[in-house]
Amino acid sequence: MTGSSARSVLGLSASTSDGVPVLFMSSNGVGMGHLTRLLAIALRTEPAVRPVFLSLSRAAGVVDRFGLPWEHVSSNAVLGDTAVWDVVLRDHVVQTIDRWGVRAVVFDGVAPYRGLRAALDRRPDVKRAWVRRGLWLPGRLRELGIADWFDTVIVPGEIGPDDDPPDAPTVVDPVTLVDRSQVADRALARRELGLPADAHIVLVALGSGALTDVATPFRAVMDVVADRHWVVARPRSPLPGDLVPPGLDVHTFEAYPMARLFSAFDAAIAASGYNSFHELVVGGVPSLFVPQARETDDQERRAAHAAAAGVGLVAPELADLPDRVSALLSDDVRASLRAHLDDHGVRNGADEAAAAVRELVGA
Amino acid sequence: MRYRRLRRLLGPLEPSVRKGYHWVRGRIARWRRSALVVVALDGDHDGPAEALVADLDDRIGVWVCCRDDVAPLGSVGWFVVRLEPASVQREEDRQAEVAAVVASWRRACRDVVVRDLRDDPA
Repeated sequence: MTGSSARSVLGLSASTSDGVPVLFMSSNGVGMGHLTRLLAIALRTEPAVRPVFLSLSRAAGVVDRFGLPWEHVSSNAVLGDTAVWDVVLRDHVVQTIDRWGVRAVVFDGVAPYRGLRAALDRRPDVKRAWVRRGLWLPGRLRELGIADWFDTVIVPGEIGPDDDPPDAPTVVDPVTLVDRSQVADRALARRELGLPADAHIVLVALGSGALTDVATPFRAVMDVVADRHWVVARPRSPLPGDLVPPGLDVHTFEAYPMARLFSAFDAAIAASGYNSFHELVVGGVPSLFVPQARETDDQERRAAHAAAAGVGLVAPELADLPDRVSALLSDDVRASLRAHLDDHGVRNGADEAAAAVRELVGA
Repeated sequence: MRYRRLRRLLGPLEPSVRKGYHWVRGRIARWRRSALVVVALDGDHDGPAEALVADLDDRIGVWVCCRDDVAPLGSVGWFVVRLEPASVQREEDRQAEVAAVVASWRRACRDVVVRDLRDDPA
């Protein structure tokens, strides 16, 4: 899928160059969660806004599928030298702002970089917004203390309660790239993914493995699924590396945005990172969430919210996986989860976030 | 934890102390580092990227491109700067954009060597 084909399958009109230029900048050296969330918002700012992307993610090229301009600067991890990187990032952001006539910068990342802040110090007329995912691990957000530096802070919401933030951000509904209305029907999704039409299929999406060991939980899942006659499917990450153990009987596919094809699956076993979690809930897929340890994201609490709301199962520890996977494969459990998912509200907070960006630039 | 305690002790002085600390640290970092900036833009990267990475020694290897080769270049160790082709329709603009990237690395490092593969595709 190249050019702007992802845009057409989501039913979006072609991009135009008439809007107010806004730079959407994401972190993510080894992931793409921040980038995907920004795409969700940026696409909904059109046509009043013309989005331009600058991403540190190695998967930044996915932006091309939406027909939007994008640039990339490698993350600091490649250099291991923050002082040098700050200068390079500062200069690149300044150049990008000048080249495109950017009126606002919308940053999605855990901590706005010194280089970014230095760039905007040099372009003080440019507005600035921080898209700051909620559900931080206890105490981590208050340590930052730099929200005042932004004109607005937009918090993509959660399905469960979050802590009171130390500032007064605009909290919107959960942000997903794909609306429920954009999800393909089951037969089409299975055809696109090359999956059998009549099998029971479970999606296993535990992340790229760049930040966490995914091989061990993957094997644990396979041990349970192997004798149940279910087909196992997993996405190949657009990121380099293939960190799932070889030799397993798994259907591997590539799809972005994957959420559009979630109807292909009868169940899912996934990490409870912000995007995959909310996409599965919006997609109505009965899911078992496997929290992964992160520096700021409280995946354990997010998965617990799903369990409390009856929209998902949770396996907090590796030892919990066999029982929980067995439960997920039970028809009764999945029917119960699906009933709760169908009742769940599906308003996409990306629309409200996009409105906040448009308001910021008066578009 | 130690840094936070120090920040509290410094109180109102803390922002200027921190700024000074980062300025000194930045000067030292820039004095110590050198970079090889390879300008490739639309060219084929596979061969040259792997061959040149062997010559880097302790220099930072920077690869400036317009194609979506971010992941493969990054995986062999290059620091990648990908420029948007649509922003530089005219050749003069492309030259100016490349010059800006090179100038940025000259500000960031003590010593910068530029290898322009547009002149020498091999």
